[in-house]
Amino acid sequence: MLTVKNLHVEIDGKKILNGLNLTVKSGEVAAIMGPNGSGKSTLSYVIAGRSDYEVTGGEVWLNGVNLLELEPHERAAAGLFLAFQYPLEIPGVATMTFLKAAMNAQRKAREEAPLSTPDFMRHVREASAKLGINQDMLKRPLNVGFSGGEKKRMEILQMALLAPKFAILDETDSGLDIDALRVVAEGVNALRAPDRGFLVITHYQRLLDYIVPDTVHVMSKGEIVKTGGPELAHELEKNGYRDYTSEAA
Amino acid sequence: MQLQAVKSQPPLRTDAESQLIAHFAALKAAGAADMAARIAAFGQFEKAGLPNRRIEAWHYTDLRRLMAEALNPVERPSEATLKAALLSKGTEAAIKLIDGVLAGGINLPDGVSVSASPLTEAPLANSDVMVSLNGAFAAQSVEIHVAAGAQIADPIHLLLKTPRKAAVSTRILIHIGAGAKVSFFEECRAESGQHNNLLHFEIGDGAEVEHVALVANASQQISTLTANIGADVSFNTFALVASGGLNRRQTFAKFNGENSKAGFRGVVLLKGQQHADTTLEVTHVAPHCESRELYRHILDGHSKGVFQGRIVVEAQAQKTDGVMKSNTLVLSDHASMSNKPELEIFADDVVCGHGATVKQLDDNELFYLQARGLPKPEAESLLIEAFAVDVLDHITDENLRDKFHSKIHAWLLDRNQG
Repeated sequence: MLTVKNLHVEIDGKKILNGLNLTVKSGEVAAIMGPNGSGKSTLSYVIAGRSDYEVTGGEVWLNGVNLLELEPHERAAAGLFLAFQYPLEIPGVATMTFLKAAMNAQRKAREEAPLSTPDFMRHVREASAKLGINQDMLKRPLNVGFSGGEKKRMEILQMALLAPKFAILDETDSGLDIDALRVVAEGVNALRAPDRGFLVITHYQRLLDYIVPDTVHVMSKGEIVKTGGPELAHELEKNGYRDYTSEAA
Repeated sequence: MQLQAVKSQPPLRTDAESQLIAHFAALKAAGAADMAARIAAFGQFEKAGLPNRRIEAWHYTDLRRLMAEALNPVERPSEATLKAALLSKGTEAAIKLIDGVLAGGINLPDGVSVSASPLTEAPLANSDVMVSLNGAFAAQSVEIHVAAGAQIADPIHLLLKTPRKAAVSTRILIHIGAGAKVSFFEECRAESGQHNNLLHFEIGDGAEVEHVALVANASQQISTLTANIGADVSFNTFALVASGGLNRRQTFAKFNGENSKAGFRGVVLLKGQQHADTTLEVTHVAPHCESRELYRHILDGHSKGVFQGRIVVEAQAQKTDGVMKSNTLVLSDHASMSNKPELEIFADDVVCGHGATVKQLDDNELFYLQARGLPKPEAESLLIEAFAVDVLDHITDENLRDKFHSKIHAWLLDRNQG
């Protein structure tokens, strides 16, 4: 499904990813854990196509499509979704307008007919009810004045509506209390499917109690330094990242 | 080199100035009943010349430099043309002018009347040279009266048609009686030419008045809006400038009575080599009044935007509440904006503030929208529209609000295709 081969990335001449390799299979939930500054968020941004990073080597493939050759919106249309660590507040853009524009832009790119307004409304109503998103939130400008938890739920709502083939969750647990974490995790678990892959990026093991991964990768200094099963997350929680940071130094 | 020549011979007239003098001589030779008023107004121009950068109020819009020629004054439209303009199948209330001459009113509600009169001195801003030129060249003074207490539900369409490429001076004085409620939708339809318009509102106590203007033509247009505001008045004016080669909208308003509220707002969309100047002077003479000024400029290409806003609070105008904001979104490295907000406060118990911002589209916001599947041009359009549209929320008539929405939409589509 997703294959990252020998990925090298710099920003302002500073190396952040140093030949990273990663494979996530269809239906798999992979977690990446690592200390601050290990390059976790960079990896997610580079896969999604943020332009301020320079890819100096390597490849990223999603279902046979070379993502690095595509614009960000083309990557989205190819089935990629990034749930942002810090979802943007966009004053003046109504949430519903945004949701409809995003859904129809992707449908258009895939040469599908645009959603009718009643169909769109029905999709939004169903998906938002599951995530405890009330209609008032949908009436406001996108993410404006939302709490941290509301913003993350809005990210999961977008994911549910856009139904991507592959989703990256970038520190979705940051800033969430335990109740919000549970709601968000349930939203993600509901979308787990044999033909869908997830990459869950997190600093803490806590999220992985709710979204139980198939694979756990440890990232340090821009590389994957260890790969294991869910037990690896518990080990990290107990021992910290010290072993890995010194190993890579 | 040209500059040196001007310096050594200060009285030298530019081509446009010489042409204006010749045009006025021809007008004078033709004679008219109101010639004394015209001669007085033209005298101001003869003394000062065209507005230029040495006059502070015109510093950023130097007409001496920008106006290469003064087009011939438009000939008076034929009676047949004026009559034809009044043929209308719709039910919309409208007042139509062709080349500055009143064709007449259509479907005007009770309490609203319109007529043409000889020129008199401009009620406000009569030292501004462009107002003086309007007072010299306007075909007539179109006078609109709204009777005291009249409650007019639907907007009255003020349609200014100028089919020919010529110099057109339109002068409209609107008298609104006490307690009346009325709104005007001003629209200038012209493809080319030089327009110098004056629109004055004389607003009686307790009146509720709204004025919205759509400026979407490719001409050179100088528009002056003046207002004398009585007591307990609500007055709101909004303009969308969606194209135009050279555009200046200058507003002079005076709060003469207590407890009035007025809003002055606008959205300006510029591209190519366009130049638009929004100049505003709001004077609080009476106490306990509130003014709100909100302008949004969106600049693309090599365009140039100007905002000059001044709130004057005279010594007796205590408890004045004034907030002025100018926000600019610059879409191109070659576009520029000049902002000059000013407060002149002589009273000691007032709340007044101003803010001016200039920004570009936010890369993070753009990336967020793109990552959700919106192609970059669409993502940009969404953000640009978001920057502009909240000003439209102040327009009370829903149909007009939609109309302005779609104008902004069309401009954005055009931007993405061009």
